[in-house]
Amino acid sequence: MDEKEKEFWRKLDIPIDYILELELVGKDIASRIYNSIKNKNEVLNFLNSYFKLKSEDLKEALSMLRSQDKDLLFNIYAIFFYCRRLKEGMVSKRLKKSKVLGKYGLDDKTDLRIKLIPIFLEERNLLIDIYYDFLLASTNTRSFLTTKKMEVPNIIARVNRRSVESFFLQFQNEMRTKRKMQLWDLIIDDDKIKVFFRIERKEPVPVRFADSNKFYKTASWRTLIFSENGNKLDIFAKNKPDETIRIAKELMSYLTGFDVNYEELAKKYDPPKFVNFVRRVNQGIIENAKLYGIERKNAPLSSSPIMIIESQTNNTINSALEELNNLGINLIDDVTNIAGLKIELDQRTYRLKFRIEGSQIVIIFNNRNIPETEKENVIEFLDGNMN
Amino acid sequence: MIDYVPLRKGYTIQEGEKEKIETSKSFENLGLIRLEKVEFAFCKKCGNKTIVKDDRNQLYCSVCSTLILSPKREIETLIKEVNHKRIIDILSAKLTSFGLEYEFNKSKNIWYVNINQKLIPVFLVGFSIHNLLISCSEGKGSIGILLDRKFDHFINKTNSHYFLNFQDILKSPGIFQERLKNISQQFNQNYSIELENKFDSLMNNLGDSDFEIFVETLLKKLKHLSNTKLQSYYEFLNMNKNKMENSKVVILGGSGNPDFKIINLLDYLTDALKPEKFGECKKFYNTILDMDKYGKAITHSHQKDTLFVLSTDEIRPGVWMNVFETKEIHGYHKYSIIDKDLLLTLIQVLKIEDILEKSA
Repeated sequence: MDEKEKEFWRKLDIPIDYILELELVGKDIASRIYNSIKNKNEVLNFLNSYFKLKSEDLKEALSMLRSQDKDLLFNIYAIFFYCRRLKEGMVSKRLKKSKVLGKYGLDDKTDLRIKLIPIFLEERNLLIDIYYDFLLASTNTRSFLTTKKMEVPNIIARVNRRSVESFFLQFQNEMRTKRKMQLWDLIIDDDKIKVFFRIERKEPVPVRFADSNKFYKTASWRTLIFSENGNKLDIFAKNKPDETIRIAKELMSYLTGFDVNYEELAKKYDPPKFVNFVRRVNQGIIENAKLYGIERKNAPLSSSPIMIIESQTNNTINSALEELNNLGINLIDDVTNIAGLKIELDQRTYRLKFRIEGSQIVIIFNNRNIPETEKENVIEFLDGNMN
Repeated sequence: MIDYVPLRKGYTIQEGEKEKIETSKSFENLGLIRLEKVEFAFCKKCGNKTIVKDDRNQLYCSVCSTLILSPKREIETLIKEVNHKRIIDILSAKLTSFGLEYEFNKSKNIWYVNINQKLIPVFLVGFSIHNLLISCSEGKGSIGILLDRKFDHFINKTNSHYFLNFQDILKSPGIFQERLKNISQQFNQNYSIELENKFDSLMNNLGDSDFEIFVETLLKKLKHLSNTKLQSYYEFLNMNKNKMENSKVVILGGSGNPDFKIINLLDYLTDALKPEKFGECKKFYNTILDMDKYGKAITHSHQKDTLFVLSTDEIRPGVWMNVFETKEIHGYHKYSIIDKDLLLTLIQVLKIEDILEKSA
């Protein structure tokens, strides 16, 4: 296999070297592929139509492909590896952008592994996009806005690999303990600038083998997503979010020439509007919004406990709150003490947390697994109904 | 709303709530509350808040037991204690500054303010003993001061005009003075004052044994009324389950006890006024009911269900604590106390005031 192609798979976390050596330790690659397919007819039909084969048997089709191009089978097996982590739902949005799938009559019902074969062969970059989508979906995210709005015309034009790489070099040199920073990808996606990079850990970590430990300074992923012309920042970082924020600040300052500062925010709301919103959701007035839980700190009881009321079924908590109200325990009147809501918006349930900052209520998403696009949908919904 | 801080023990204020922190600090400067800083750490795994009790860097999450390494701390301000005595002092000082004469009843925690020859009762909601006052024309002619909006459910459309927030009085004392003036102009003196005066003058003329006869007469009447007026009263309390009418404030305090407790009056009275209890009724005339007398009385009644009837409101906190502890153990109020306030409330609602004249 071509080194460039191997490097393509390595970057997507696929152990291509291991795959290439599989034949040496056991069955050949065609048999391995054959055994891992459940719907053999579907795959056979696709292979026949795409590769213009005329086979009646999947084993035969795979052998024919192998004799044409051995690397192809290894690539197909690598695609199967790649699909292990993915869920259909995660990639469907991305796949809708594909020009290739329509050409071959492949739709939502087709097995993902089959759909990715023509994409690998004709639209390979989509696999990279999907890889990053997956990375973002499995990382904690925090959102920020610039403290002072920047008016920089067309910031996207200023951002390119070279400028970001030169910033990283400068940042590296200023570190007290030098740690390598590597830009993996810079993707412009719907007016958003996505910077995917890795930064070396300070200390080596053990990689455990069967008979020994070896120590390496591995690296952690960090992602910066700039939008609204650099005024909004979402950071994706499992480790050291504070350092990542600092990198984002200095990168944007480096690119724009301004002194940029980001403050953590998802959105701020006025308390009267917020209490009105909560009341309306509780009364069932807002379409597509249902209240399934509330976390109230400083509950109006002796010693001010935290009270969490949450539905265990598909029923909203509206009646429960009314019953408590009749007992003199009103949980939604003092909005400054509502610490959280479990709310269903458009068929998806969110656990939203709130905090008072100054005279406004800030919404904080419980970070795990909310992609920043979904966060935006929630904020858009709240903005639209907060009046 | 943003800067409102209730005078309630255990209330916490986050770092970001700057207005509330300012308000709470001003309360602390006035000696109304004692604040304490509490540190919390957040568990990365389950998001739970765990109190940091000492300065160790390592902490275990109180929910999922994950070790929280070098936890990020958040500091909250907690109201550790509320000083009700200080609240009383401040309100008394305000009344003095308005140039008003008043008398403060220590056992009930009610001020009686003299305006234009009328006495206006001023009470603290959830802290003053208010049942007699409220039983007379729903407390018209009085002012209730709210320390905490958790008692908001006591207020309705008909009585909202005679409640004031203590926090608002601190900001602008003028509203207190004006409300006193308005109440004295709009309403007659609350009947509870006259009733109490009648009772006090009767008690002054009675001796120990006369009081016993008085109580016996009262209990006979209660037995007689149990099917009619008393039942109607119970129904009334049931309809006003979460209102002031059905709340009895019991003043406790002392170490390890809450300052006061609010009990469900309906539950309490249905146990207290069971005719079976009337056989073992201990009457205490013009004396403070302390643990010594209480303990002796219980022993004397061989620990049967006992009713205590007092001519005063002075009961030691330890006695009340025992009443509630016994309730927990037996599931009902085995020992019940009818203090002066409750006694007069019953006389008022059951319309048996003639008992005060007959015995005189």
